[in-house]
This record gives sequence, C-alpha cells and structure tokens, in this order.
Amino acid sequence: MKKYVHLTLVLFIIAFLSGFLLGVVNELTKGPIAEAQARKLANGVQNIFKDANLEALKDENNIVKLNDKTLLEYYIVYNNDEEIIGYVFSVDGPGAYKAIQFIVGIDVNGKVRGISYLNVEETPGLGTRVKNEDFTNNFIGVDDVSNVDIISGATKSSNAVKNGVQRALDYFNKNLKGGTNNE
Amino acid sequence: MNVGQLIALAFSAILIQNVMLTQFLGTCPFLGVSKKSQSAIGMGLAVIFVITLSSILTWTVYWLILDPLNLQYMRTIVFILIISGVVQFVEMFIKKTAPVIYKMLGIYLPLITTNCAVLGVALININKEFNFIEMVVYSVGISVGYALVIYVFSTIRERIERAPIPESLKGTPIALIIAGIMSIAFIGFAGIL
Amino acid sequence: MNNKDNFLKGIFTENPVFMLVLGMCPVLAITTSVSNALGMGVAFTFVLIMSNVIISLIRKFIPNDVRIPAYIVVIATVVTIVDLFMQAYAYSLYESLGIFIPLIVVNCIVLGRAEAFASKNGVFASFIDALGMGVGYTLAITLISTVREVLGSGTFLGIDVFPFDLVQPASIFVIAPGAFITLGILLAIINAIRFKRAKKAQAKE
Repeated sequence: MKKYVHLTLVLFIIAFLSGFLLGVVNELTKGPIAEAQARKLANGVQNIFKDANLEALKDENNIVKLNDKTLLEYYIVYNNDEEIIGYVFSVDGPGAYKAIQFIVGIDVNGKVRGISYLNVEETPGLGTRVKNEDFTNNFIGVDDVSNVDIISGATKSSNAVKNGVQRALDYFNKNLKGGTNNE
Repeated sequence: MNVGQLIALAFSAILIQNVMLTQFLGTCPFLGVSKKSQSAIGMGLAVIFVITLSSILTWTVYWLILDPLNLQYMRTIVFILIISGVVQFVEMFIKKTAPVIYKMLGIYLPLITTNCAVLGVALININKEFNFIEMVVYSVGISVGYALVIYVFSTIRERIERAPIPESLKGTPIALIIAGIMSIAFIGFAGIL
Repeated sequence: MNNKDNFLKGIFTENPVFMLVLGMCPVLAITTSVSNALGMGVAFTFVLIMSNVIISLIRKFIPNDVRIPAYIVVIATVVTIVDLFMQAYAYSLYESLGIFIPLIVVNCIVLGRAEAFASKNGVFASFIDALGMGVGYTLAITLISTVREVLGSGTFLGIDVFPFDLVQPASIFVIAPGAFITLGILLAIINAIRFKRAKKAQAKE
C-alpha cells in the first residue's frame, strides 16, 4: 500500500510541475501567437487592397463569422479615410488532398480584387500551381468566375479555388451589394 | 453532413488520405511487423481497435474538458496519457475476456503506444474540428486504411523474401521502395472523388 | 566511453535514421524541403537534449514501476513548449511542420534514449548522447531533403540550382512516393558501402 502511495505521489508531482510549466509558457506565448496569425492575414489583405487600413482589420466589429464549412468569415476592409473599400472572405476549399486556405478580396462594386493564399497543402508541382500568377490574375476584375480556365493536371485544386471565389461572390451579391453592410 | 458526404469522407480516409502511404503515420510498425501476413493482420486489427477507441476518448475529453477550460495547449500531454491508458486497458480486458484474440493481438498491443498514427489521428480530429459522427467515420476509415495497406504490403514482402535481389537492397531498403510504388498506385485514387 | 565517442556514435555507428531506422514518420514526411528538415532537426535536437537532461537529473527519484509514464510526461511537456514557442516565433515553419511537432512525443528515438541512456547515466553524458543523436538525426534528414528538394523542385533552400530551366525537376521526389523511394535508395547505398568495408576488413585479417 505504501508503495502505491509513493508511486502516485511521484507521478502527481511530475504532472503538477509540467502542468504549471506549460501554463507559464502558454501565458508567455499567447500574445505572440495571436500576433503571428494576425500578421499573416494582414499581409494577405495588403497584397489585395494596397490602401487597406490594417489596424481596422483587427477590430472585432469588422469580422463577421459565417456559419459555413467553406466560407469561414469575412472582414470589412476600410481605407485610411474610414471608407469601406471592400470585403475579404476567408475560404477553406477542399483540395485534392487537404484544404486550400485562401482569402479573396471583393471591392464594393462586386469585382474580385485578388486572391492571396494562406495555406496550400497540395501536391507540390501539380496542385500548388494554383499559386501561379497566370492562374490567380485571371480572377482580377471579374464578377463571375465561369470564364476562368482551370489548370489542366490540377483540376481539383483549381476548381476548389474557382468555386471558393464564386461562393464569396454569391454571398456578396446576396447580402452585401450596394456598398453598405446591411446585415 | 448527409450520408453521401460521410461516405465520401470514409472513402477518402481509407484510400486517398491513406494514413501510411500519404501521411506517413505509423511507419515504424509498418516496416517492423509486415514480414508475415499473419502478424500484419494482427497488427491491423489491433490498430483499428485502439485508434477508434482512443479517438472517441480523446475527442470527448478535448471538447468537454480541455476546450471549455481553455487548456487546449495541454492536449498533447493529455492525449498521450489517454492513449497509453487505453492500450493498457484493452490489453487487460482482452486477456480476461477473449484469450483467443489476446493470443493473436497480445504482442502487438504494447507496440501501439509508440505508433504515431494513434496520436496523429487524435490530433487531426481536433485540428479539422470534426463533429462526433465525422470523427468516428474518419477514425475508423483511417485505421481500416492502415490495416488494408499493411496487409497488402506484407503479402508483397512475403514474395520478395524469395526473390533474388542485391544484398544491399535486402530488408528495409526494398521495403521502402515497395511502399513508394504502392504510394504511386494510391495517388490514382485521388481522381475518383 | 569518452565524450568524443559518445558524441560521434549518434552520427555514425548508431545514427538513428540510417543505422537504427527509428522514428521514420517525420523523416519521410517533412523532408520535402531543406528548410523544413533543418527546422525539424533543431526542434528534435532540442527536445532530445532537454528530455535526456531532465530525466537524467530526476532518475534517482523515479520509482522503477512508473518510469515510462513519468518519462512520457517529461517528453510531452518539452514537446509542447517547443510547439508553443515555434507557433509564436516561427509561424510559417510551424505551419509547414504541422502535426509532426507534437508527434515527436511518440518518436521512438526520444523515449528510447531516455530509457536506454539517460536513465542510467549522468547529466553531462546524457547531454552529449542527446546532442550526438540530435546532430546525427538532423544531418540524416538534411541529406534526404537535399536529394528530394534538388531533384523534385530544382532548388536548394529555395534557390534555383538548375539555371535557365535546363533540367525539368521531377516532382515525384517531393510527393509521398518520392519520400519512400529516396530513403530506400539512400539506405541501400549506405548498406553497399558498409558491406564493402566489412569485406575489406575481412580480407585484411
């Protein structure tokens, strides 16, 4: 009996110390982790909307969560004069193997301003060709993706991007058209 | 999620995202316990059993305890303890209730604690934010896929044993090359869905 | 065994990847690019050193019956710390290594060194042992990833190695089958060298 008390006690002490240590490390890294994630998004948004106000992007009022597996959420993008210049949708498209995560920017007139990838885990050299500018530039300025050619050999990956953009456009036309946030 | 999507998820878990050939989880037992098809079947069944059980437990603990308490960062440590507990429990349980199965699976069970497929699937279930049904379908699918591949692989290895191959290729090197060729074949499944 | 031999055995005679063929999951999965391999190598070496040192320090307090769970808790703690710090200060590396950072917990090499070496030896010897193993592991995965990145993407650390598109890289080396085949052929080459040496040594005698 005494032996089991001893064993349990030792394990308990080790578990307690490790829990304490992890709690401290978690507190230390919480801020930098959130910052690293926000920075990645901010870089993407800046690629699409050059004049975006990145500070306003952090404001929780400008993030609208969507209850959808593909269309995750959108951000209202302001410029430095506090005018709405567009919306950025965060899309999680089903790729050939894993997800393709990207953001698509739509300006207030309903035209696509650009795409920026957050995470592409597709077959290197095949599916990752969706990152090529030859492909992404086709989306710029369109309000309907049906004329965008898919990449041969990367059908599934490029279709995932195409459908994701169309979903964002549909959502925009249905809920956000007119330039005001009428939700 | 409707039934069709669940079938697609199961199909993709078994073949397209095959845990061994495309995600490289569980390589050590894959190479170690695949010399005979008999032991490959044993390992495969043990993996199905343990992955399913531990996925259900880890998923439940994560969403009912760790997530509400904001202790997400404790998941690796909690999961590995749950998994080693499950393995030990399964071993004791089978030993008492089904000695025949124990004879078949017994020696493979302790090996499973260090099979990274178990912890890997538990973590993927959380990362992908699966709901309960999706989690069960995915875990069963992944482990069935593992069992399938390790069995097919072992039958190939049994034949290779008798083939005249260069001395330096014997053993692990040729096994890896076979796995590579199987992996090429499995890429073809990606076009189906 | 002196410190030098203790260090070198991890790199040559007991190289965890090429000689012991242990902990293969990350070896196959993250060697798609040299930068991933280096990142994984550093994380892995750090975990190995920390867990070996801590386990060697507390080895006298841990009853034999519960040593494995105790080791696992120590290793999992170190791994989680690495995971959190990597997420905070090397976010893109964290994303490309993904699930393979937490999976260091179940890597046979780490628990194997704890059980076989750190539980029986002093702190400094355990540190040297872990350093040798870590460096050996890092060198091995760097070699594999070099082959895969150069042949598969035509780059080394992201820099083009084939100028003017003279050679079209074969992307099969970067995808899953390439991992198995590259490692299989590298192991065969190492075996061939070993056999040749053994034969020479025999002939001398």
